[in-house]
Amino acid sequence: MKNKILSISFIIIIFSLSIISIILPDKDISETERRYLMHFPALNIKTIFNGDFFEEFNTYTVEQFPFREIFIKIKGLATNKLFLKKEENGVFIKDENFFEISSSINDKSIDYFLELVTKIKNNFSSENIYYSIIPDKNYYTKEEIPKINYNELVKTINENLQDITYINIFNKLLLDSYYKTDIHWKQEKIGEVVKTIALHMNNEPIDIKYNKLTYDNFYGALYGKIPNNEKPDTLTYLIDENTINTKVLDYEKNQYYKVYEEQNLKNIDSYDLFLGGAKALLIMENKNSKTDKELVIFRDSFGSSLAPLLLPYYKKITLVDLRYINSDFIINNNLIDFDNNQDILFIYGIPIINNSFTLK
Amino acid sequence: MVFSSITFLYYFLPITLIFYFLMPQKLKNLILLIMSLLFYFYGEPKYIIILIFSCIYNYYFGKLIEKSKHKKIYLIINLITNFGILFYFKYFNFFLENINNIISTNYSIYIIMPIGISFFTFQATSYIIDIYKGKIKSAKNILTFATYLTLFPQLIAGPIVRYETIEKELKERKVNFETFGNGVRRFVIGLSKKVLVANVLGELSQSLSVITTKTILSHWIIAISDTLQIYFDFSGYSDMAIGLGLMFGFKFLENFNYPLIAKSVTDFWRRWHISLSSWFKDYVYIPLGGSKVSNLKRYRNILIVWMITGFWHGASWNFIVWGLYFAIFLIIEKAFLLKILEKHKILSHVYTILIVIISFVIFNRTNFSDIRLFLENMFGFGNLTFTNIETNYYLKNYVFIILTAIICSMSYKKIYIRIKDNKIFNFIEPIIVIILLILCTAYIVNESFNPFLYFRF
Repeated sequence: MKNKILSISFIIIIFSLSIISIILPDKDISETERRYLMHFPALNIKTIFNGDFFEEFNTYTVEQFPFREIFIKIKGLATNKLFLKKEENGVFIKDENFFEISSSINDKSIDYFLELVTKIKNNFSSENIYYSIIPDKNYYTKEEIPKINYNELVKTINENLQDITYINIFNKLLLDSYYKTDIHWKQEKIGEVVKTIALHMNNEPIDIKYNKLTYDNFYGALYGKIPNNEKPDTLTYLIDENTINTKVLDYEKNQYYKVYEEQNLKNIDSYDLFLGGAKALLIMENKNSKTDKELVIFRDSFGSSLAPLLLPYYKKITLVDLRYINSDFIINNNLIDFDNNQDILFIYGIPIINNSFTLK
Repeated sequence: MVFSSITFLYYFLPITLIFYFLMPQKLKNLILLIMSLLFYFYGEPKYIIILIFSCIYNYYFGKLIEKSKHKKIYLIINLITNFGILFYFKYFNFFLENINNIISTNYSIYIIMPIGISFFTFQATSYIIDIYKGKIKSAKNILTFATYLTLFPQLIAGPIVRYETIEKELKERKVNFETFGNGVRRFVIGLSKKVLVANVLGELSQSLSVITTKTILSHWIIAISDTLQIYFDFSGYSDMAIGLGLMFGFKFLENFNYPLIAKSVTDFWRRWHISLSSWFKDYVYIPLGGSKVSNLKRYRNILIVWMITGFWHGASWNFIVWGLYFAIFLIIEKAFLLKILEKHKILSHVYTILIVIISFVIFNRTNFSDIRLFLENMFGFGNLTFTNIETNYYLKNYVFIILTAIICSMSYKKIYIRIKDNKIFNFIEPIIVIILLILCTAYIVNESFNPFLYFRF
């Protein structure tokens, strides 16, 4: 009797899930994971015999599995409640704050990063070249979690980039300067960082009164990685004359954007608000500017919320994201004026420095 | 295809079950053969040709050896072919590398090993040798033999099933709710061992291996969780194979018998990967003279058998050392230690588990300086602190799964026999099995694809 019940329930489960998975239409994206899901792979003689089809079919069946999100939640609950594991999918939560666990420095990535920066800076005739490192929020927590050796990382970079000026911002941030559900810093909390960078680059201090606008439903990049019932973050952005009067030219699309693209708040990643999200090459022209200075920033997504606050000091800010445009392409085609006497800033978050192969 | 994948659980298995149970008795073997070939083709499209060749070649040699007067010649030709193919795909690179090292040359050739070749080669040769010895009759037709050799539950990671074990079932077998239910239970337990325990321990070991500042404790946790991982991974696979076998009416022999509770190394090898050690015992150790020779020859035989056993696990020196390492303890035990161990129950467990844990440190590292460094660090000769924040963090996160694994690696046969007719237990047991199936599905969905540790053997 027991085996009969077991046999029948087993058959019901595998057959019903398999039928549902065939009937259910495929989904395009997974919102919690912020990515496209696999569709039925290309099927032909070549893909069958080189094994590609089967490999992709495996991914396809998992990614389009019925009730996938529920199963992922079940897994999270089981590890958390049954096996009492606090970390899930590489993310650890403490006091509503999400930490992505990273414990080792990737030396090859650091070398690659240093080579890339050195190659690019050698093309500039200007002597006003600076760099800064943005710590990830794990640096600021008192929790006993694995951390990378920050001192060693900074030391290695300092030693290898001696001929350009380092702007240390480690002591200008706090744990509270970062979103709880995301890896990025909060724009409203980086005033000290902006001042430090501006001062180092020989600018007169300017005090700006910003108007704050907020968006209450910011679910950051770490939120979907771990089943949880935490509250979303509030995303605050700072408005002043400069941000209103600046037009942002997207080089790739040859189209103008606003500094804050408010319709992007509804995107999967609300952080796309800042400068319209991931963009290869942007030129910000501040008509309101009281100076003639120009700045080129080589940056990752942290730079998107930083750049608007540097507008008071510059007439023109060029933003380069090497994840989306190749440095050789920029150099060979002179997409930036390399001979201008401008300020140049390399500013990257440690997550990118430690995984720099995405930079080209 | 791996068992712990959505493709297998929710596509391949339901389709196979439908065809299998809808078809008349006569066609059941054919369905199994077709599905098994598809199963293999899915993971190794090109090399299916080798599997098909092995089926045809060994079937005809079986017939030939059975009838011929020159049995021995055909046997030798057959063994040379079978082991020649295995050697080429599995060991040729290794020998080339070593020759290069000795005579400073730089020959290289790119060979990918077909999945499961070690397993089906051993099955085919056991079939041939058993016919030669007159232990079994050759398969009636090629369909029967090909079904035996390719049977998907055990095709790519064992157990190594002998023809004699399932000879009758290949002709006729019955499946009812009783056997099918037993199969389901066994399969789900195996799946859980792999997905809920082995994979999670693999994560732990991986995380601890990459932390910047290592500690004595982190080395111990890695060594212990690696041992548990290999056990749960591999025995889980055997459980799944046995379970699937039952669902289709085959009864395979047990491959693991709670090896981690062994009281000596001798005992451990009676309980660990039984189908492999009995293969070596029957086809290598006994033909060499086995135990019926002088002590010196017997020790030589043990060394030879365990060296090859080690080498079977992979084409690398550390596997040979791993085998010889066990051989030494087996010899010491045979000489005198076994008698002492019998008197000290707790000590014998501690001694055995320690030797096993260290053995898997060797097993898991191909580089000897890595092995030395790891063992030095483990035993406090590496100038490491005992523990640190990172080690504690991972220990806290995984302590419960480690404890679960340790508890689950013990035998509860006696308790099970006592409660198996209990009404409440009978009610709860199927529920637990179904919950485990859903949990495994959840884990697989969450982690997507993950290959078996024993896949390339």
